[in-house]
Amino acid sequence: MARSSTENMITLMSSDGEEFMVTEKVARECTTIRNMLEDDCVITNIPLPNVTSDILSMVIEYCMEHVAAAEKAAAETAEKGSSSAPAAAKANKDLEEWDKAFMNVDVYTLCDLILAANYLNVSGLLDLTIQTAANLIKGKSPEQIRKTFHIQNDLSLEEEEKIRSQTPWAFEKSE
Amino acid sequence: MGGASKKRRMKGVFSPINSLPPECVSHIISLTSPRDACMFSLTSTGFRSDLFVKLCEQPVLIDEGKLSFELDISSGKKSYMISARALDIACDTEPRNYLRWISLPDSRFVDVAEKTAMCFLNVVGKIDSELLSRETRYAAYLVYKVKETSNDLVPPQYPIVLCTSVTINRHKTIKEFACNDEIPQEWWEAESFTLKMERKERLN
Repeated sequence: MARSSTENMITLMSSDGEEFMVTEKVARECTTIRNMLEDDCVITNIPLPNVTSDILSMVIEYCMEHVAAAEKAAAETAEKGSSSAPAAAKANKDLEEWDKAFMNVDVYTLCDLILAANYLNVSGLLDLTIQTAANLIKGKSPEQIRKTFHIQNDLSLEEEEKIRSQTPWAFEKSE
Repeated sequence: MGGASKKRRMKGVFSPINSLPPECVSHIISLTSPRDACMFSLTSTGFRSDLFVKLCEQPVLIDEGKLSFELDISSGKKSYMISARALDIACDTEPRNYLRWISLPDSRFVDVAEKTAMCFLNVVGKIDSELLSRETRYAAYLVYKVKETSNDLVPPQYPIVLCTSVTINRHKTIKEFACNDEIPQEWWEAESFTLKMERKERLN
């Protein structure tokens, strides 16, 4: 990533005390941090007591990748104008592939990333993680969903029967 | 976060989904099908009481409060309301704009658009058809209310119209409307168009 020497650096501190130095541009991908910076422009050290270092490093990785992709796209458009469209489509596809590979995590990490993306307000990462979690539920039986998300079944047979009778459409084969 | 999840992993009791705020869980479920939502509600009592019943009994605000999502328990069909803020509302008097934003306690959305003068409104709303239930006839309804009081700009015969949202709902018959009309001060719904969702169709 091209980095000019005049670019402001921000230090983000995780809940377990690890420090991450990032460019202001990368930090601004988090709306929560962007708002802090806009309220107080001299702030350079931001403690994030709700995010651990392993999750914070992943959030930063995501933001860096997306900032770099946006910068590259902007530079290409400036250079080649509309003739850069096929390259832009390929870059979009590459970024989608990158996102897909980035989401190759266990459900604990996935849920921690949802929490962090929600807290830091990184809309792209929140959409990506929420969609990934939704995809893990789609088309599965209750037993399969329990297994995927480590959910303990505490429903009684009567309760289960009641739900089934209220929602017969959910158990029809055509659905 | 990670530390806490490691603890949970060792105990093996709490699902990581339990650590998510309800709005995140609702958002996840809103991206699945009603059948999936029902299956999810069958996984444990927590999700049953917290989520599925809520989704069926009261609408859930998603997408930063711009969209409201509801599930009909008897049919399993999804419906959405697009908030006025997320709509493209234009007066035919442009560039003069006779719209202003107000808050109403009986609207689920923070902002409601108030039409302050006599003009025609052009309302455009967009929804991703992927969000809608398949093989269902949908209709779009403009949800509005008429205010009794008047100001200098509006003669009494042209009441002020408050627009809250556009609902994308299962197509209703006229009969279903009739009961609503008897209640004064109720939000009214005007049907604008209907659309049958097939397997693959795009609605814009």
